[in-house]
Amino acid sequence: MKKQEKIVIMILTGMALGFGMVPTVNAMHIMEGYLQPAYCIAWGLICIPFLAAGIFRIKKVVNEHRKTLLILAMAGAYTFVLSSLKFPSVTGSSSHPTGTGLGAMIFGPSTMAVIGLIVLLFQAILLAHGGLTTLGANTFSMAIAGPIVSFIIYKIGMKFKLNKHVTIFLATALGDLFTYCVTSVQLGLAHPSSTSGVGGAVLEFLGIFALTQIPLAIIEGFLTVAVFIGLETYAKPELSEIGFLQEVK
Amino acid sequence: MHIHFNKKHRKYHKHGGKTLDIDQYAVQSGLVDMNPDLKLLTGVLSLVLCLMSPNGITAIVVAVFMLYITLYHGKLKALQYFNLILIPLFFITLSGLVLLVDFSKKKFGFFNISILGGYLIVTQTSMKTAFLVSTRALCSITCLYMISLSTPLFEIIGVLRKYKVPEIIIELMYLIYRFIFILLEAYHNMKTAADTRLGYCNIKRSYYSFFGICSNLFVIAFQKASKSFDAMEARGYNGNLKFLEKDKPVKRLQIVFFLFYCFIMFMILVLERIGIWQKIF
Repeated sequence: MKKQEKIVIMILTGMALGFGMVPTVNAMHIMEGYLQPAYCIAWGLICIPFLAAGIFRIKKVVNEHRKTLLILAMAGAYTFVLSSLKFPSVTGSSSHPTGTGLGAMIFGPSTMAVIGLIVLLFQAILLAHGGLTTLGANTFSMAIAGPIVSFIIYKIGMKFKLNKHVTIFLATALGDLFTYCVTSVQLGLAHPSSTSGVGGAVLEFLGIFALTQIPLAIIEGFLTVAVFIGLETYAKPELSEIGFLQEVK
Repeated sequence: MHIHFNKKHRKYHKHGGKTLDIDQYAVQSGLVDMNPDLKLLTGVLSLVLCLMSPNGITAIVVAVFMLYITLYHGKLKALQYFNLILIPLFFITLSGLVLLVDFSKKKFGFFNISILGGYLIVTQTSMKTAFLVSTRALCSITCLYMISLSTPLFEIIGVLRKYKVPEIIIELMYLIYRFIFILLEAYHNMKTAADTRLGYCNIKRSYYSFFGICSNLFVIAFQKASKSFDAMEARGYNGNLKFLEKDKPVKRLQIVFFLFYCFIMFMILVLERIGIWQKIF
């Protein structure tokens, strides 16, 4: 690592410390059995167009470069592993598929929707985060809605030539926060409050999950910047070889 | 890249620390020789039954049966199971709390706290909802665990392939599953290396190490992907991944048992839905 990059990482680390004390726990996947059948099916159906677009895009890219399949698989595995790691001095892991935001910036949001779906399925089966019946709802919030926001912010930032690292931080953190808003809406819709209806329930879910989600979004933002620095330094040839990373240049 | 799955190897040699306990238990399960289609079918059907249950009674019966399968036939230790149940419990408690407590301008319900010009209240209905939803969720989790603690992931993928999930997704799944172990091992190596050099001696250092390792892991992932591709191409990879799968036929007794289970559960569900329980009690 160059000296400048070291300094950047040091600063990021220092800033992350302030938030690291908060006990974050894996709380943002909607658990198995939490949604009624109608909602499970509805959220699943909403995801289908995005997934179809993703599958077509992956097929097209893979036909041009076979190797892309492996790169995508590695990106998926990385996303899974990152979500299962424990943050230092914090009880519990992030469990967000954090990598989806980064992946959306590199590979595009439709590709990441497919990878995100697979990662969420694996998380449900291997880590018991989320579930099979809530897979549709979780895919929509974490693999589609969040990454799309990250992608749009990243594009805007690049267009107006803002500082790249700041843009990536904002893209990831806001994408995360959007995910958490969507999940709260999903929960509120499924279980409206008896006195204040859907709106009240959504606000309550937003309030109680803010405790864990806001610090998490900030840590994940910093983490993504750190990963991005590493990527630019070492993995550029691998990425540009297969036709990605025009955006990253 | 090692493609072959070696049961003996995995049994004594654990990759990825404690991260993937469920995968480990699945391979060691007493139900591992059972037909995966049947296990998945039972699990998914039970899940649907749990969700359809209006008062949670069917859900509880299903959960008892799932626990029986997982602990008795799957030969999983109760303590291991309990530790796994703790993972979703946090979410259930937190969301249960939200369902339990309502915010209102008026003061009513049998429990209330004044806050921000309104009241946090607990009513009979909210208590009932919270209890019901949490029960249903907890019972559904036993179904999910029945699947994931008895069926290794690659067999689940095999079943999905049979039911015509797009081939590109199946291939990605197989590769991701394999790469997870490579990356977890790389992560643990780097973590141990950092730890021996006091990389985790205080919070500031820990985060510095953690961020460094994560960013390095990404680079390693890309390089490994490249190398895997070269290795696969050298062995004649032309865009088709095929794996040897052990044939696990369904026994006749299992089918009888399965049909019996479906029948009983369906009856209980119907009885519950027409409200027979309220008439008895």
